[in-house]
Amino acid sequence: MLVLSRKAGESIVIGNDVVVTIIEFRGDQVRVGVDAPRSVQVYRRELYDEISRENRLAASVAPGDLGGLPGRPKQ
Amino acid sequence: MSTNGGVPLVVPTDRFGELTVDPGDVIEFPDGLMGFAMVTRAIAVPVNDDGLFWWLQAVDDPALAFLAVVPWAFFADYEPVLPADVQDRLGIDDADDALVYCLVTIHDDPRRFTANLLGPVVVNRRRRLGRQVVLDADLPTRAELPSPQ
Repeated sequence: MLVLSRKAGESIVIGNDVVVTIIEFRGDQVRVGVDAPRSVQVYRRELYDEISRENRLAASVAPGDLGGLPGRPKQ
Repeated sequence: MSTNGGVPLVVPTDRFGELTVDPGDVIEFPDGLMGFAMVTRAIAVPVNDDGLFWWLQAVDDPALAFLAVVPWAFFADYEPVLPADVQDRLGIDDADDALVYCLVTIHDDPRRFTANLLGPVVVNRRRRLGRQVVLDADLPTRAELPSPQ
């Protein structure tokens, strides 16, 4: 992993169109700004991992597993 | 499926055999799905005729299909707010343009299904253009579906 030291207000450029800026430090947190084109999706890592995991599980269901699917609830 | 979008497309699948679909039924995901960057084209295959559950079948990988639910029958209060950049990217001007699928997982108890309400797959139904979205909201990735009656 490339490791760079940055101060608040300084940035890192990734490729030609992604800029990551260190905004400020607050206690044990760092505020980070990301400028990227709309085609580049930016996520918090833990959310990315969690949703990727659910996607993998959704893709591992077999048609034979669906006997217990609920039907449309009665109004 | 309808047949007004050009030459029918044959999609080989592991689960459903060979499906012949209208090219206009293909949903494009230019950015892939999360953790599945290679899934850039999919079709929605109904699980049964109640219109609630669907398979999002990858067009380019016969083995890959994601179980999904149209959420409102079970989560009537669910109101996903799409970030402005996602609305722009998908060209969604009106809520009626959006189809929403929440991916469904099954757990150790085969009668326990959950739906991912935090990261829905949103599709512009007119443009057949979709993206998986992480909502800026306090929503579960494993919302329990009711057990069958």
